[in-house]
Amino acid sequence: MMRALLLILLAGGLWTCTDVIELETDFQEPELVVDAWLTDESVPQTIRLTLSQDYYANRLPTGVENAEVVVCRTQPDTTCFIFVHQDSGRYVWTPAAGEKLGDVGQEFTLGIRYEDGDYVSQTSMRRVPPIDSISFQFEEDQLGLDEGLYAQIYARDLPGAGDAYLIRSTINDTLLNRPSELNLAYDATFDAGSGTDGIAFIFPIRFSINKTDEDGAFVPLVSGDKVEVEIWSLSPEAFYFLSIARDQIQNGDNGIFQIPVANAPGNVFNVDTGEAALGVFNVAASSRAVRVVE
Amino acid sequence: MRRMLPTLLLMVLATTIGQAQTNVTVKGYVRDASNGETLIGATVYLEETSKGTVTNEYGFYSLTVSPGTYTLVASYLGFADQRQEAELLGNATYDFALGESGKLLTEVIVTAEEEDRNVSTVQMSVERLDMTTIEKLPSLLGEVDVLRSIQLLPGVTSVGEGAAGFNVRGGSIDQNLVILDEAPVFNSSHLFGFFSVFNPDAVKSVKLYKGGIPARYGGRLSSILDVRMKEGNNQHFEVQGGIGTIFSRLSVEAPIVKDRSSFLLAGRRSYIDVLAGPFLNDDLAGTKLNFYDLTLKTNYRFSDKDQVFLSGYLGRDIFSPGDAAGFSWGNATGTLRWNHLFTDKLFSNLTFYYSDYDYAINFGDEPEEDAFNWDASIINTSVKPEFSYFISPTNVLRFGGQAIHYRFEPANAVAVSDGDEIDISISRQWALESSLFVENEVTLFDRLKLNYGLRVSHFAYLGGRNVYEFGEAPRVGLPRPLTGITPTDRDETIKDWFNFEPRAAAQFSLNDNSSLKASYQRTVQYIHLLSNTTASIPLDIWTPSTNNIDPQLADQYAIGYFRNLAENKYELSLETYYKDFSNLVDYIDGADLVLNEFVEGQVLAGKGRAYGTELQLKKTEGRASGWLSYTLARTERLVEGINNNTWYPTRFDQTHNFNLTGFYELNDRITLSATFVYNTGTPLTLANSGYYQLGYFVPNNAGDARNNFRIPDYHRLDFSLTLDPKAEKSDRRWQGQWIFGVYNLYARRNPFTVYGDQVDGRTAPGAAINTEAIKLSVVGSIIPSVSYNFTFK
Repeated sequence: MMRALLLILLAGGLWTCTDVIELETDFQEPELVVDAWLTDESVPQTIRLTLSQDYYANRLPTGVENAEVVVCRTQPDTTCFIFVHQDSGRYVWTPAAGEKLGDVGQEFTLGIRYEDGDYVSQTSMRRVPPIDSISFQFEEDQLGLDEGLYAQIYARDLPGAGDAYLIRSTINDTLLNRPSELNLAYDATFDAGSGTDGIAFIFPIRFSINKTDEDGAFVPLVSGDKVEVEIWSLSPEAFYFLSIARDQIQNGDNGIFQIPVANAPGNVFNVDTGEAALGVFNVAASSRAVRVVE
Repeated sequence: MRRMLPTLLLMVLATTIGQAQTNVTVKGYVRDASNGETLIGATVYLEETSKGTVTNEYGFYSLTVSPGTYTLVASYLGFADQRQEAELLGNATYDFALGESGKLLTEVIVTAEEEDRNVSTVQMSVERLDMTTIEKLPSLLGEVDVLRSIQLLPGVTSVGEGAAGFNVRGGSIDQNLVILDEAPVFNSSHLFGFFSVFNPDAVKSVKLYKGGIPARYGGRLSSILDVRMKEGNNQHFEVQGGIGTIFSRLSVEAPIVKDRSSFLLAGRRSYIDVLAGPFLNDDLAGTKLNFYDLTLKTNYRFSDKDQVFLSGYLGRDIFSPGDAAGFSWGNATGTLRWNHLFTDKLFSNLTFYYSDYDYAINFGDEPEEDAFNWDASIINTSVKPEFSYFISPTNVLRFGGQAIHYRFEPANAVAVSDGDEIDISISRQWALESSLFVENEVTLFDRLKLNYGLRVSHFAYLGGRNVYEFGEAPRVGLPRPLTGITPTDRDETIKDWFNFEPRAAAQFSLNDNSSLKASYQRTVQYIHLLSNTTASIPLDIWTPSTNNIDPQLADQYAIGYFRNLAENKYELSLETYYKDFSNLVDYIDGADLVLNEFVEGQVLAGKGRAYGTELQLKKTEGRASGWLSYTLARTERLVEGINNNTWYPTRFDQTHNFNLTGFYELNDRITLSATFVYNTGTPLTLANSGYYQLGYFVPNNAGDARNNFRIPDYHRLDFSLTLDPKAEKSDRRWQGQWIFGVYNLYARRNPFTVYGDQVDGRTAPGAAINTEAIKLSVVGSIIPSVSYNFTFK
C-alpha cells in the first residue's frame, strides 16, 4: 500500500532534500546468518552460512566455513541430503539426474552444527500455482510510466487462504534484485489479512516483473528482450520474514512516513537456547515461464 | 473515589446556603461594538466591591451581589473599558458593546483577558492564543496557521516539520481532542501536516488545555484544543480575503437581522494546480492536486434568553495523478447549539454535533479489469447538554453530560484483478460513549480558589460484527494467533467500561501579583488511532476500545508558580508536571495496520510516563511584545516485547525545547515579528547491522534497542513584516494589508529523520551491496513569501 501511495506523496515532497551523512553504529557481535532458500528443482541447491556485519560495512559477508549442514525430508519418508562446503560459506547439495529434495506437502528439517551450537529448522513445501502466461502490453505515457511495452505475469492464486509466493523475474539474464523489485504475493495481494483469495495476482504484482531504473521507474521492454519469471511457494514464516524485510529495505522511499526499524524474524533456532539465528529456511515448489519480445 | 461525589455536593450546598436570599443578579453579554461578536473571557466587575467575573464561551456573564448602586465595568484587553451606572434593586440585564481602544499598542495580545489572569485564575496549563497574535506570527509560506502557532508554546512538540498533529506533554497525536465549535476534527491538516484545516478568517479563539482539564471536557488523554468560530458580523456587511502562496481566501459576514442574526461564510482553496495547469504535459494533464475548506456559521437571537447557533465545516484534500488513481480525504462537521437562560443565574447550552472524517482511494484505469477502491470513515454524532449555575461571584457550578455514538468503517474495499472482483472490506464497528460531569469553581478565604469536579464516563463496544479472540503469541513480537470468532447482534454490548475521572485545580494567591497553583486530572480515552509511521498518514484508522484493546488512562499532576511584573506587563509562569499513562497502544515489530481485519492481534498495550518543567515569560504590552518559553522534558514508554522490556523514549521526546517569539511595532503601519525555535533532536531507531539473504541486504537492529539514536538538533529562525494601511485611510471601505515573510531565514537543513538505505543500483551476482546513511530534511532551504489580505466593509 505504501508503494502505491508513493506518487501522491511526491506532492508532499515539495522542498524535501536528502544528504548522505557519516554514521557510526554500536554494532559489535557478528551473528550467524542462515540463507537457506531451496527449491524443488533438480539443480544444485545452495545454503549460505555467513556472519552479520555492520550495516555500513559495505562488503561481502564473511562466510562460515567450518559448519556441518544437512537437510532431511522427514515426511513421508526420511531421506537426508548432505550439503558440502564449497567456498566462502556456500554449502551445496548436488542432485543426481532427476533427483530432487521432495514434493509439495512434504516436510523438511534443516540441521546445522556450528562451533558449539546446534541449529535446527523445520518447514514444509507449500503449493505453487502454474504461470498461465507472460503477456506483453503497450502502455501509454502516464505519470511515472514512460510509453512502451511492458510485461505482466498472469497466474492465479490457489483457492484456500494462506498461500504465499515470491515472484522472481530475470530479464536478459539479469535477476531483478533492487529493493523495490522484491515482489511478494499473499493470496494474490501484498499482505495477509486482506481477505482476497483465488483470484489472479493483482495488477501491481503482475506488473512488478518489469525492470526498474535508478529512480524506481519501470523500464519498457524492447524487441529481443527475454523475460523469465519463476514463482516460489513460501511457508508462512518465510513470507512473514520477507514481508518485513521488504518493508524495511523499501522504507527509505517512504520519506516522512517511514515505519519504524523492525527485525525480520527468522525460523532457524539454536537447539539449546531457543534463540533464533538470522535468516530463513524455506523449501519452495516452483513454477517457471519464459518469453521473448518479438 | 466514589466518596468524592457527596463531599462535592456538600461543598456546593454549603456555599449556596451562605447566600443571603435578598441578593440580586445582574447578567448580560459583552460584545465587540464593531461587529457584534461576543467576547469570550471579558471581565465584568463592580468598581465599588472589586467583585467580578468573566464572560463564558458565549460572552455571557452573571453576577450575584447584594442590592445597591454600583458602577459596572466591562473590560477586555485591546478594548476601551466601558462603565455603566447600575441601580441594582432587583435582577437586571446589562449588555456591553466595547469599542477598540484608541491606541492600539496592545494589538498583539498573548492573553486577552483580565490583565492579571495569569496569576489570579485557578486555571493552569492552559494556553490561549488570540487570532491577532496568530496572524502576526511568521508562518510557512505566509499561511496563517493555528496548529503551527500552538507549537511555539511550552509543552507542545511535534515529530517534525510537515508531520500531522502535535504532541502535548508526552502524549501521542491521537491524545488531543481537537474541537471546532465542539465537533471533533479527526484530521486537522491539509497536505499531510503542512497546513491546518482552520481558516483563520473564521476562527475567533483558540484555547489549549495541556493539564488541569476541567471535568466538562473528556475523551482524550493529553489535551483539548478548543477552537471556536466567529459568529459573523451582526452590525454590517464585511468581506475579508487574502491571496497567499498556497491558498486564496474569501469570507463574507453580514447581519441577517441587525443585532439579532448574522452569518459568516468563509472559504479557502489551494491553487497550485491552477497555476501549474498550463505547464502540465499530456500525461499530467488530468492531474488534480488541491485542498479546500469551507466554513459556515449563522446564529439567531430570539430573545435575551434564547439564542441558537448553527455552524458547519467541510474540508477536503484531493490528489489524483490522472484518471488511473485518486486519493482524497477530509472532515465534515456540523454543530447546532442552543443557549438558553433558565434564570438569571442558570445558563445552559445544548449542543448537537455530527462529525465525519473519511478518505477514499482508488486505482485502475480499466475498472472492469483491474481496480482497487477503498473508502473509510469515522462518523460520530453527539448530544451534549451543559449547565452553568452562577451561584455567586465566587461560586460557579457546572454540570452536564454527553453521549457520542461512533460508527467506524475501516475499509469498504473492493479489489478487481483480471476481471475478478473481490470484496476485501473490513468489518464495521459501533460504540457508544456516555459521560456525566459536575464541576464547581469556588473562592475560599479570599486567597484560595478551587475548581474541582468529577467526570464519570462509560463506553460500550457494540455488537453487530464478528468478535475476535486471540491466543498468546508463539514468540514475543509475533502476531497473536486468532483463536475464536463469535458473531454478535447489533443490540448486544460486546464489552463495556466504566471510569471515574476526578479533576481538581487550586490556586493560592501569595499576594496581588503572584500565586501558586496545583492540579490533578485523570483522563480516559476510549478510541485510538492506529499508526506506526513517523508522521501520521491520512489513511490511519481509528478503532474503538474492543475486547482486545483496553481504554487508555492517564493521571497528571502539576504544580506551578505564577507571577506578574511591572503592573502586569510581564507574565511569568513556571510549571512542573508528571504524567502516568497506562494501556497505551503500541504495535509489534513490522505490524500491518492497513487493511487488516485482524489488526487487534498486532496491538500491544504499554505504560508511559512523561515529566517536565515549562517556563514561560510573556510581555503583553508595549511596542515590543512576545514570549519566551523553555521546556525541559522527558517522555517514555514501557511495552513488553519492545526495547528488552525496559523504558525507552518516544519518537517525539525532546529534552530541551526553546521558543522565542517577538513582535515589534515599528510605527502605525509596520509590525515586525520573528520566531526562533530550538529543540533537541528526536530519538529514533537505526539498523546497526545487516546481513545477506536471498541476494538482498536485510537491515537488523541487533540488541533490539528502541529509539536509541538522536537526530541532530533542530533550530530555525523566521521573520515577517506586516504592512497595515495608512492611518488616514482607516475610514476607507477597502483596507489592504501586506505580509512579507521568510521561513527558515538561515536556510538550515533541519533533519526530519536519519535512516540507512541501500545505494541505488543493481548489484551484480556475487558483488557487495552498498548502504549509506541519509539525513532527510523536509524544508531544505529558505522560503520567502508574500501575501496580501484585504477587508471590505
